[in-house]
Amino acid sequence: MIDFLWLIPFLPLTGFLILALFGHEFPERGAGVVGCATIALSALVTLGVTIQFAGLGVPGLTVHYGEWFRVGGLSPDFAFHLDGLSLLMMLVVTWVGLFIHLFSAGYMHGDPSFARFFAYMNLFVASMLTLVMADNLVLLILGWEGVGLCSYLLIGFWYEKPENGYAARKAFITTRIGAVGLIAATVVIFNSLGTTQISAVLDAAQSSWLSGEAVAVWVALLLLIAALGKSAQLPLQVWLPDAMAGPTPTSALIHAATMVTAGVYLIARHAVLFELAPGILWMVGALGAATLLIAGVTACFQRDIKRVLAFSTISQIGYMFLALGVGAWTAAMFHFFTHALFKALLFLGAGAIIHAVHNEQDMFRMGGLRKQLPGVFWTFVIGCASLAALPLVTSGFYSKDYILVKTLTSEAGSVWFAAAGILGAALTAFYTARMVGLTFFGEAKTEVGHKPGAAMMLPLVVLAVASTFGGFLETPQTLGHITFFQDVLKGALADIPGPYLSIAAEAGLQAGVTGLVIAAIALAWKRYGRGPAGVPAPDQAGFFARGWGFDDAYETVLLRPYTQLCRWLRNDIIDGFGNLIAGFVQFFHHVLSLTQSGMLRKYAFGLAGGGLVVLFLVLYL
Amino acid sequence: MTLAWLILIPLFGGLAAWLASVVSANLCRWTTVGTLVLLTAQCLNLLTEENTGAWMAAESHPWIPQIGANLSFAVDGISLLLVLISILLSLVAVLVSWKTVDTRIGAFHFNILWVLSGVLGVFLATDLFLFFFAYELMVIPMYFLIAFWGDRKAGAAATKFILYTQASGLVMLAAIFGLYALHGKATGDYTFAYDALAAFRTDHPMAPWLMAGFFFAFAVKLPIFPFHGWQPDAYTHAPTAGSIILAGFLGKTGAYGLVRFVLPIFEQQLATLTPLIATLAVITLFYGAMLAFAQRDIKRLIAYSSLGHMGFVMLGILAGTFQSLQGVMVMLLSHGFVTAALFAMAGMLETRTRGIRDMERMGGLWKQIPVFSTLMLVLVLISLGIPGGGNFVAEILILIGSFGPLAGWTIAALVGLIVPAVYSLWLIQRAFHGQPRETHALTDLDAREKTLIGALVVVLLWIGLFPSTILQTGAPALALVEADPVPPPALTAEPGPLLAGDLPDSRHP
Repeated sequence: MIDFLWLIPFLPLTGFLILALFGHEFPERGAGVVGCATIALSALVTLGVTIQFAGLGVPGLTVHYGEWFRVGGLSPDFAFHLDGLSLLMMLVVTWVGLFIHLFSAGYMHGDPSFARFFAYMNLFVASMLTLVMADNLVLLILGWEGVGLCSYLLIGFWYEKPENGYAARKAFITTRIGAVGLIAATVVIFNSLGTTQISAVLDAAQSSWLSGEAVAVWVALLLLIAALGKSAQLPLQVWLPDAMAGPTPTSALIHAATMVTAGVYLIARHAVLFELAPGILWMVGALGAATLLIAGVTACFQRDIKRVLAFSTISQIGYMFLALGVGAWTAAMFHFFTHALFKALLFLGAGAIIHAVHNEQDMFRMGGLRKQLPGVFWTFVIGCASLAALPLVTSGFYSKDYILVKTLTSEAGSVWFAAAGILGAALTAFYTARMVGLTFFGEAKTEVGHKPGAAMMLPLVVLAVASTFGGFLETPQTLGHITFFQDVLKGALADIPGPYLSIAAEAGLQAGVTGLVIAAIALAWKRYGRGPAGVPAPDQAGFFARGWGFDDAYETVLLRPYTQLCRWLRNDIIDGFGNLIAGFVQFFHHVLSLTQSGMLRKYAFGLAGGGLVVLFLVLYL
Repeated sequence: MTLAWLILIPLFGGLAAWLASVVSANLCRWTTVGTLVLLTAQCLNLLTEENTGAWMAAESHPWIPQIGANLSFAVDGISLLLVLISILLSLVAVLVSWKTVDTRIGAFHFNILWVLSGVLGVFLATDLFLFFFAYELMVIPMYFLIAFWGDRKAGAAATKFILYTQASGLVMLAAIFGLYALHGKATGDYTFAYDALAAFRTDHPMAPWLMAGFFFAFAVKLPIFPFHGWQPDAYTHAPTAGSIILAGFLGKTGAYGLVRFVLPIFEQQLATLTPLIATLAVITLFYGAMLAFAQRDIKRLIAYSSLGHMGFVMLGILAGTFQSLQGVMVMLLSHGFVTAALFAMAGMLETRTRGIRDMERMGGLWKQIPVFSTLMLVLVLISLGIPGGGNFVAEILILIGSFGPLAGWTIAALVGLIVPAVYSLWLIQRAFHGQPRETHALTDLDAREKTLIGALVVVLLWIGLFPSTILQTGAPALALVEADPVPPPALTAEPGPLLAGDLPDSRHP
């Protein structure tokens, strides 16, 4: 199957081309089939490749398809790299992507731009696969910018509304800042190491850069900026909540499961470079910790169900960054994996709810949906249990526990990181319980319109099952000690080591965190367990609900000065200067042409006056 | 005579087209197209010549022997690529005007072909006197194109254009005579021949001034900040064909001049001014992007966007490394095609809305003209440097190549990658997304327009995804500019040493 590796990104690309060029001639069903079938085939090929790769028993391999360009030593190829890390990403992108596509076929039913939606989604999957499979940095940038572009297109999908366009531009430009970090990192890496091929870069850096050397620090910092932009971490997190303007399946695929975790992938892929820059590695953890707390608090104040999930996503990616910051690459990828499953489930569930209540997104106007949408309710609760990390039966519990243990045991870890993680777990449990209570319990405030059909229910059920059992791929020493996930990634990633925490300490940590989570749920339930108590006035968004004032700060510091400066320059100062000369000439043209009056008297007067002046000059100077 | 024919064919073709217009307008158009096709064929012939970095073809005919001026022409990879894009974009200019230009059709096509003839003369001349002659000559038919077929304000724009270019051209003429005199005095050989002058090195106190003379003329033509005063007006008020010619290839003569003359001959003198010029390049980049953001006129926005890209070109030329020069070559081609396509689409929109270029009066056009809007979006994205498009390859090569010699300015230029996204997406928002602000009865692209713009998009994707052909064509000549300031030796001379280590694989690996 590895011979057909190229098909994995090529199939969705074909789907995109077909839909983009001929989509308007397709009936809705045809467009849906093209959109879903290409992803399904791609997912099957990925599975086949995975099985064959597992049989080979090599840590990684590279497949070359041709030369992109070659200038001096710079020769990025169209080449894909296979190892545990890229395969994990590919499996998640294609399989989760497939179920989200199936859901979309139901969700987008009747939209006049149905084919355009699937064209964008297919292009996204193709770009995302290029990103994770790329064997060199330039090809990685191709995927990186490709997913950013699709994100822009899909956030602004319903382009008639100006606010959607605004959200789309905000997302693109903020992540473009990150992309520039990635391009800059590539420029520095090539000028220092003479290659852009990722595995060669890692080897060369290890042998020629000293730990903490300036170039290593700069490269790690630039990569971090790239990751912060794409993964919506402090201080570049502002675009993700607004990105919820896109259709909900988009939020599930791009803004929860895959694209926003590209930053996590980028850091894990370049783990070696971050180990060479310990200060920057600490920054990764610190920013992750700060982000997970700030976004967690913000999520507790949201009324829009999609915005709760958006801030929750920012917060959960904060956990992944926390894990990366302590060198627990495997733990970060494990949380990426479980999060992709349960957050995709939650977004799709939210989509089904929004669909059913006539595009209402305010949780305070919902309530009581438990009885009307039982299927959605149960799957949604399963997702929420995973998000809140309820013990033993949820995947979120295992991945979060893995991260917390690592923050304590890793050589790069610290008690403060662990404390942030534990506090974040309580916050997560609180806003999750609040969301469930407000949406599903108490009295119904909005009538339920169309209930989800089979195309929408199937993905919910599959993802609910997956997000329950996904956690058993990697369990702690206290609970069975399965290390399947670690073993898969071992060839690609080497965690920063640390001593083992004793069984008793680990069990204590688990019990303590669980107790805290349950207390937080109880607290939330006491207040919100009976559904929304009433609809608060819409404009009471305070400091926390508005995301701690980041938007306002950027508005004042960046946007307004920039637009103002552009407005001042509008008429081109240089052109003004040129026109000044023209004006000067024109002025003298007018003045001097006045002297040509045709009156002999004035000419004689002028002649005499001029003669006198000359005489004066000659005689006295 | 191969090379001389490249200049003579459009000259005669222009006369023929004018004569043909007496019979019928379409005969005139087809004559022009025929001329351009003939020219393309003539040009593709050259591609088969051996490309080692030396001239691929050269010829010389006596002209004014008393002062040592000859009609000598030569072509290498650099000039060949620029000749090709000039011919192709002239064809685009003719095709977009097919239905929109209906006054003085004979004169219109005559002028297009004569501009092209002048531009080809600039790219092919290896005699500085002849070079100057062609450089000045191409401006005059261009002036008529802007003034007679442009919009209401075109007269002033055309005057500004000719004043700027003539004034800077005169400065260059002085510099050419200066170089001629210095070289003649030093060697006893009074000649305008490029090969002789380019091999000449001097530390005469006049040399920096000579360099400044050349640089000034080319910086005006390119243009870069603060020499761009003529550019926005000329690009905006010219007819669509005029904007395509100006932005597509006439402006490229500035970049060509810098690479051909200033880099090899005045390397030393340029080095002292590098910090200043690199700063101007970076200012150009930001200034163009910011001014583009502030515009309401869609053509003016494209004009300033084009200015911003010239900042990258200047930076890459100044860095002078193999990678940055290759990036400049790709940028010249890619930028030429994308800007031509953008101006073509702006022109189509202007025709459809009966003269509206103000984006504040558009909005919501996507619903009415989806194919048009989609293609516009694709072009805008390629222009802002999305990977897959040609501009991305150009930018990454320029940035990687410039980082070594000009680290600080390259970092600034990297930050400058963010700003084009701002004005590009704002363009899309104002014109195509949102709700319509005024009602226009618009029709989507017809088959001719779709084919034309579609072909340009395909070319741009080809440059972005498979740039090897272009890179290999330019590589040998650029390697000589980069590795050693000695210019490509004449065909008659011993073949110059090739620096194998710095060369990418040849055409046959």
